[in-house]
Amino acid sequence: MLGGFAPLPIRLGGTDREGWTAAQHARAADHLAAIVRTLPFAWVRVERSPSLRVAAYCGMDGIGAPFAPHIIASGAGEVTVWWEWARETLDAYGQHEPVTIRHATANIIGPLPIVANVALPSASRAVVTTTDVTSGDPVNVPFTLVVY
Amino acid sequence: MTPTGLPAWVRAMSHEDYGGHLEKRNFQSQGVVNPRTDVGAEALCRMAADLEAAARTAPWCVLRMTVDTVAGDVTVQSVNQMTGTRSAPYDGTQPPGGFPSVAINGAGDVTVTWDAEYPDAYGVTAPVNITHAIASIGGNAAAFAAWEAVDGDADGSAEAVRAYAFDATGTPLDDFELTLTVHTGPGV
Repeated sequence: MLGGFAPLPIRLGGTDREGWTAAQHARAADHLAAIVRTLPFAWVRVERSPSLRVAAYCGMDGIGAPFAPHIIASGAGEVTVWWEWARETLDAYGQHEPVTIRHATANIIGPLPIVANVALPSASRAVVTTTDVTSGDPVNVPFTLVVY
Repeated sequence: MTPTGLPAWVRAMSHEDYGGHLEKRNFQSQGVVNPRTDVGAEALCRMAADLEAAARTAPWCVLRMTVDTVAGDVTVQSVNQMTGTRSAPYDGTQPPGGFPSVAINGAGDVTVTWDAEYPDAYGVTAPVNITHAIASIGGNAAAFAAWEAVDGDADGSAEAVRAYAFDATGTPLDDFELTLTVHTGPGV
């Protein structure tokens, strides 16, 4: 190491207490690459009361309302969630890439036998349909959506 | 050079694998002078701790497939796997190297199989042992799925998932889109 002043670029090596070895750095890099591949892009909780809204949003692009996607009720028991192409996702350093959704799952919130299904009509849009399995009727209920 | 520790899907990680240490300290107790150019022991340990936490729960694989059990066709549309990603669809019966195969067992019944072990970016291999999964049906019709882990080679580690797709009445589906989120634990 370069003593008390340790500017970047970091020189790998040293002890476990005062250094960062090449083997440790390599393992960190490998695990980081692995988990970034499979972590969700975002968790979205949609509530219906008092009105249709995104109640909670945790995304790779940020936490909370400023980063939440758009939602509309697109039919009975159907909600469309979309991330704008124009609002390309920015990381902490201003680098941006468009949102490209390839997988999604959803579950309803509540104690009722209602199933949620997700369709992906485009790379930036998810359509969640919620159905009461006992009646077969669409129902408007809150749900959690996870997109990758 | 071989990295410390094991691949992420074994879930045996420690913050120490990434350079963390409970007694980490800045050399000669000299802290960060310029945060634009220096990385201190505190930041390194926080990175190591958070990476350890995130690696514990990150899925092994998320994949989406379309299945026609009558025609016998299964197409894997997209795969996000710790060892690589693929957005180009492929025939589930002829997977490209490193990606899972899919076999149709019957109506609403498929088995997704991975290799028994995979190498990480540095060639360190570790077994795949599936411990959790979420199976869901895509589309806008009411449908649901169930799953179970399968140890097809009887080595003690489950390297496959058998998934079942039903319509809202509980009838197995002939045609469906299935999304699987698969998580692994320590291998045997």
